[in-house]
Amino acid sequence: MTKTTIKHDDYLTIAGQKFNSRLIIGTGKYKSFQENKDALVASGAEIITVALRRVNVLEPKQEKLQSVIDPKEYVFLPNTAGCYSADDAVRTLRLAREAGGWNLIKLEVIGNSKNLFPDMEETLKAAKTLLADGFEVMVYSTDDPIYCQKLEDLGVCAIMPLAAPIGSGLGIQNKTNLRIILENANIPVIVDAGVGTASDATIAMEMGCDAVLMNTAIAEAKHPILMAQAMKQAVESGRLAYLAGRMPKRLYASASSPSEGLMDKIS
Amino acid sequence: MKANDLQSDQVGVELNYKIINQKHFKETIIRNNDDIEIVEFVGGG
Repeated sequence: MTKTTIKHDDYLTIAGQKFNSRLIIGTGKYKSFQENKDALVASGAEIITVALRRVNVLEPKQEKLQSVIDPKEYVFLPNTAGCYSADDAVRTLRLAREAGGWNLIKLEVIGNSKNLFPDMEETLKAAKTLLADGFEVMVYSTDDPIYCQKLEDLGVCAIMPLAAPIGSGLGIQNKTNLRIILENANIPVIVDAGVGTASDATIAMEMGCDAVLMNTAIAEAKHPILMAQAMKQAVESGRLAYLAGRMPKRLYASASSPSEGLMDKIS
Repeated sequence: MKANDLQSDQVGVELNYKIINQKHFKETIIRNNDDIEIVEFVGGG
């Protein structure tokens, strides 16, 4: 019997950095930093998104994210959540670079507080400034193939179209657009936002996405650590299925057992 | 920052909307009515 093993050179490469995991997780909405850390370990993720906020000088003893999750062990990906203009996003990321010293960042410029869809005009404007400023820019975007192409043409290192509104858990709403984005892209395409459960992540990976980024799906699960483990396996399964290449879909049945050698019919 | 137990290598500081490099924290003089922002990383998606 021949044993087939998967050679592990299937890395996710972003801005020249290689990652074993194709799952990126957020650090928001967890009950505690420790729960977040446990979920992170269970997920196998190597990149985590973080937000930048004012220091609460009234409570200096408050537990800090970095005291539980070590930035030397994980890649911290500062985001611009809460920014509604290119100027605010650029300002936030410049401060983030000062605070952490990292150039790899997640740009998101929000256009509407109810649906949290990105404002793509402001996003493009910010991306241009950040690239000129030496940042490696991963961009949260609409699932619009034209905007994704414009971002790639600018020189961003990953495009991250939404599957559905942030925190909605609805799963991929527009597979057609995502398919077109994937067909055209020459940089990593990472589904960001809207994943609700493991099968959503698998579908994204089976379609050929390079990675999946999620926060709420894990943090708001009844058992976040169990869900983190499920997401790890879902992303890995989806990737393997994509690499294996699925069978073609048929309208009619195709028997699996041979028709030769069948016994005569009784009647 | 010392009084507030803040680690200088984990915060970003703006003085009057201008980023202050961490290397220059010690020598930066703050005056009355200066606008100061001190930010840090928190959980986020």
